Amino acid sequence: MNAKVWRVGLAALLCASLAASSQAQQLKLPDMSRLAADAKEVVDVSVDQALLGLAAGFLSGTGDDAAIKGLLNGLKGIYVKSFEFDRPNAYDPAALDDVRRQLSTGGWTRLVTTRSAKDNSDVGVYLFREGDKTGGLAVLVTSPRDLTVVNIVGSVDLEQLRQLQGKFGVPLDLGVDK
Amino acid sequence: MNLEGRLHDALQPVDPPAGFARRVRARVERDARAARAGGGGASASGWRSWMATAAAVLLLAAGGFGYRQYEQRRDALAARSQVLLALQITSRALETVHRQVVQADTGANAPRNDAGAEGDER
Amino acid sequence: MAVTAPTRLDPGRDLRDDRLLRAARAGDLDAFEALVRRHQRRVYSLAYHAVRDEGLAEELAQDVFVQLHAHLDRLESGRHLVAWLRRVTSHRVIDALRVRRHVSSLEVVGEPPVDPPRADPLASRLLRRALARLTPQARLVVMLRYMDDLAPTEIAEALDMSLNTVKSHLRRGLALLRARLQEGRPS
Repeated sequence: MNAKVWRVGLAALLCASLAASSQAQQLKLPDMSRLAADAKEVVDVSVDQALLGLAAGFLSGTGDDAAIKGLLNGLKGIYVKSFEFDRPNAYDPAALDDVRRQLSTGGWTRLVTTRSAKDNSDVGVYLFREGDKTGGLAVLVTSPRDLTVVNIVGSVDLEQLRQLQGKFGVPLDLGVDK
Repeated sequence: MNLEGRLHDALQPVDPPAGFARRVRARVERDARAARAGGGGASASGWRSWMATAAAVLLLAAGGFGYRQYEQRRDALAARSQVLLALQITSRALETVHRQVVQADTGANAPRNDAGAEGDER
Repeated sequence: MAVTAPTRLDPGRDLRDDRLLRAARAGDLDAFEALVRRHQRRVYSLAYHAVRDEGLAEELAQDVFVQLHAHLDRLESGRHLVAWLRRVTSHRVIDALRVRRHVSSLEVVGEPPVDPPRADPLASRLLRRALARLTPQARLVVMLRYMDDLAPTEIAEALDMSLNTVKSHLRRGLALLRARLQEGRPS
């Protein structure tokens, strides 16, 4: 399958700053307990604003922690569901239909979609917009063995977030870029 | 409006989130159970309550942490780990997108026969 | 230090609080929960307006009521309950503000979900930011004065300050607020 990429002035958009948001930017994630039951590895993160404040208090003010702390400033919530399976096509692609429906309505805008021929993975990045203001981010990652949904509510610098890759000090391989 | 009027306006009463009183009660009950469990002998909450109490006692002896501070630190560290994990997953996904877009821009992965391989989003 | 002077006289409320206190002292958790409900708005408002953080405000407010439960036998009557709550909340808030300045460089100045109907949103935001820049003690003095309409003598008792210190905090705090609002006003 050929790689297809839509160029969207990604550098400019990645640098775009998102304004503070309301609760509408939080996706209603469906019950994924069935996926979890079949998965080899599951990541389920749900951090609301109160927990973000708590977490930020335990980040130092120097180095990479300072960069992360800066990123957290203005966030209202971070929600991640990620599933890795031990064999290809082990999950029903319709599991994300409801999420995709939400991302195609209201204030959500598809920023970019990429597909990798190498590993057959699709990555979609979506922004929530109200008029000329943006206030939420969603990322869908699917491949034959992986399924990840990320929803960030609030103000986030996408470029800053991208550049934190590799600086978290926690080895992680969820097959996002296999 | 003068400053005092503005202060009155800005400082109007705010209700706590729903269920506040219930949560306070639950905490009081939990503290009472923990206190009973730490007093020795089996309790309804079993070994977990005992372990939590033992850990708290050790911390108190070791470094002067109050149990409340221990709970706060534990919760904050757990939240920190979750946040870092979430940000790592997100940044990796964004890096993947960025790399693929850059590759497409340089033509590295754009076969000639793929019409519309590059174009503007929306 | 024992709380000796009640605040406002409200016989009806005080009698109800008396009954609930007696029952709560006897171990009635329903009565204790009812006491919490009756006074949660007062305690939470003070915490929230001081720290401007919903999560921290709830934590502080919970701490106050948990402490209340542990000290029910120290309260002489329902008349003293309000003063006790205000006093304990104020001290916990001041402690929390002091700790936060050391722990985090983030200035969490969140906004309440909805501005009061007759408030000017921009002015309120400027004012709240200006309040957040006062010292913890000065902030509490100003808040108790304009949120609870306390007299300086009542504020002095709640915060364990001398009357002169309260007046000084009020005078300087208001002057600073006026100056900062002047700076922040669009030209």
